[in-house]
Amino acid sequence: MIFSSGVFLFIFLPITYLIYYNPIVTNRSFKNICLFFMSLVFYVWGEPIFAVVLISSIIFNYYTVKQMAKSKAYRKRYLFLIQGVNIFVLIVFKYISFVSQQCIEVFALDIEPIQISLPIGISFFTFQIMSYVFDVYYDRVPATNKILTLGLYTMMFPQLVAGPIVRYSHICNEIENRTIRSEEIEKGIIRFIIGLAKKVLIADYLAEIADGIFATCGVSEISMTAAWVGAICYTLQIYFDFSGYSDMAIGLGLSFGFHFDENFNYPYISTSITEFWRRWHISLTSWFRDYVYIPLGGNRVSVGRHIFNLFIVWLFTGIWHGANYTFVIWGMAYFVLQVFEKYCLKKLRVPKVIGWIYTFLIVNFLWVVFKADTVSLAIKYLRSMFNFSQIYDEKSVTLIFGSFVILVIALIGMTPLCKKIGEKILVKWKPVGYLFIMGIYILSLLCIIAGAYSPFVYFNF
Amino acid sequence: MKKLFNIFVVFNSIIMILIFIRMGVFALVSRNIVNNSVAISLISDVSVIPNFKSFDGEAGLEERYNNLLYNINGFENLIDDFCTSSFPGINTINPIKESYDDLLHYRSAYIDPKEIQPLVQKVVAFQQWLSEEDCAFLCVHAPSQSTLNGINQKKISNAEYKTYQRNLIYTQQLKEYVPFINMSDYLGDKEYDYDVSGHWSPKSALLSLQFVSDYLNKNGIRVDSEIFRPEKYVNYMEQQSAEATYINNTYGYNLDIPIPKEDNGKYYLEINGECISKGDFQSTFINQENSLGHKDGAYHWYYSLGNNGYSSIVNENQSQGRILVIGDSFAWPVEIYLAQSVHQIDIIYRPYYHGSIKEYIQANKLDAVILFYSDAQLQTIADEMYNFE
Repeated sequence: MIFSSGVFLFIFLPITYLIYYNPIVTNRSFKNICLFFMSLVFYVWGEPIFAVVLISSIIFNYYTVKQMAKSKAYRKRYLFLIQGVNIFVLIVFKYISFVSQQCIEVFALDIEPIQISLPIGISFFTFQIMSYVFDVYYDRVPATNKILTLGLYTMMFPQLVAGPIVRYSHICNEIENRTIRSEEIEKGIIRFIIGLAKKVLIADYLAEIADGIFATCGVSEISMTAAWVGAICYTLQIYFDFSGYSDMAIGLGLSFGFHFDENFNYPYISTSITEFWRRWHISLTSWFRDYVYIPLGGNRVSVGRHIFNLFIVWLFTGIWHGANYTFVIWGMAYFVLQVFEKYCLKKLRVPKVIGWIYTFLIVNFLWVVFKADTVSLAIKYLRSMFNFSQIYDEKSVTLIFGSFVILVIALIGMTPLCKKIGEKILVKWKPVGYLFIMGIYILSLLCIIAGAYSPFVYFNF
Repeated sequence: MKKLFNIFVVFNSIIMILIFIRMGVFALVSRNIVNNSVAISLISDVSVIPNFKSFDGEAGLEERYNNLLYNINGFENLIDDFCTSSFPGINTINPIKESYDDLLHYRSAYIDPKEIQPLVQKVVAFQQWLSEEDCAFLCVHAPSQSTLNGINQKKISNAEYKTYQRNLIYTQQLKEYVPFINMSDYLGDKEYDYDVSGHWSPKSALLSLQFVSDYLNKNGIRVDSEIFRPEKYVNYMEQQSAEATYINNTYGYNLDIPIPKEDNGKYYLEINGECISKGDFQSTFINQENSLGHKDGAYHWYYSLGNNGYSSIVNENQSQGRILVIGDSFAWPVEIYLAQSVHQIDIIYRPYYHGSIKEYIQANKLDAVILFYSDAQLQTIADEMYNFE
């Protein structure tokens, strides 16, 4: 089930709220059971079989982590065993099909490749559960004695399938004992509606343009104008899509009394790649920082070792996004850029405007690599972006006029301007703010009902 | 204070209740519990047809498991459909969405060619198979009004623009491999080319027969193309002056249902194995009585044909030529007028025809197969429409 679907908004969400906030049974245990059960329904909807993987993972981690916490002599062995199993599950479901396909091609084997479907959100819930194991190992939190607590932490539907990657240490207290404030519920709903609008009213429109252009590039030539429009549309789409999803997740969390960490902080206003990654998918970058980069020694090591640490982090970041060479290239490109910025560019004082242009362009090019199905398509697309022999074609004019307004809206929306104006309106003219929020909510619903094009980009990871 | 939250929950809950009521009424309609007028009004507004498998007592464990998964999936799709395409008031909501598109001047100019490619491949493979069976094949594409508006650079919605784009891609990909006529090359920028339902006019269909007959003649199937000239016809609506006036006043155009001036044919129309009508052109193909009172500006209410699984027209005045038309509602006038010039026209509407088309062709000696679709079929139920197995 996805947040921007009629089933979620018209059936699942009202039922969940009505049960969760029923005036008869109001204790916390009931609320937790309700959330756990509804999260299970949320996950099972559309993919019942993969719930087995998720629940097995929770049961396995619950019992083994308890053993690890009790054991003093074999603590490290337990850690390797548990994380090994978690990584193994991730590899089997996410990478085995790709690896088998590559083996068949490289060794010219006459066998069928292994085909395993990808359970939705496997990378997110595996990383969440791995962070729990690490946190218990490093004594940041005690191992939980309630399987429901671990189950709810892993499966809570607002963040189950596309993050943010929540740390157990951040919400374990809220699972056990939380105060639900009415002003936060309200904030949560506003945040949810804004996220939905980002997704349905902006990202989906950009997606259709970008998907069409990328697909066309796969089978025929596209003009330079079309290639740039497609690349910019995808750059903005992936931001509005993913940050919209994160807004919805954070908003829903707030409405149930949970505080999830922010996942985006206007990444496209960054003036360097390093800054960009401090603002983009913060929960993933901080996960890699805390559980990979710092244990490897971080930057308090020799230059060579520091570069190696960065290499490992970016290799994993690329692979985490999917089983394809394009993701590895994408990760490696960021590794090179970060090393370049840390050891070369740092000495130069680059004007902010230049820094912004450089960052935005690089991010744009690398999203092309990220979006392309194959390396050859990525190269072909990047070439089209500099194909001066065909600057525009007959579709380009339609494309520019047809995407102009949505691009302007998206370009303004990627800056903090809208948030500042919105907050002022909500403080000074609350009824106007409410009307606006309900207006965009209804417009989003109409677009959903009318069957707008609506794939969530980050469900694939 | 959590006013907004309360509004949000109440608002969504009301929608949920409306959906459940609609589903409940639909379930009753499906079981014929409520009366027919409610059934007709609801079913015409609901796009979903529930399809569940019953459990067979002797079924094995694996089959029962697969049936269970199938039914769960069917139930999910049913609910999903009631939340989107069968949502209460969907016909009002769609134009609002289009207005938002217009407000953005939104155009997704590129259609994924991968959408169209499989359909083209199926048509090409079908043509190759037919050539092995020594049967001529022609593909005719009838443009929807959206496509013509797109070609003539009129204001169209984004959905219409996509239909136009699909038409272009389909034509571009198919014409290299298959004898292909795209009628958008020949139809002009005239309002009367299309009727109120978005279908082309019978006169536009007659024009297409000029090209179809040329192709058939080149392939040794003798067809008198002269009989498709407009001057050979009179307008049936002249006999129905009250209805013609009503249509003109309501829809702003003169509906033209051409019937041949010289009508001495002997036709026999069979639908799904049952004789529907016979006699001359008018008595066989024009509905003499219509329960809905002929009060619509579309040709649908006047022709005896429909989207039936299998229909057949026999012209006893002609001794040669047997043609299979795999078509949709745009092909109805084509089939009727073409029947004047050949002995037999067989008609298959693919989604309702449950047999194998290839087996049908092998079992019957056909001179030609014509695939006659409008470009709307490139999107809606394309997989069904382009299944030639």
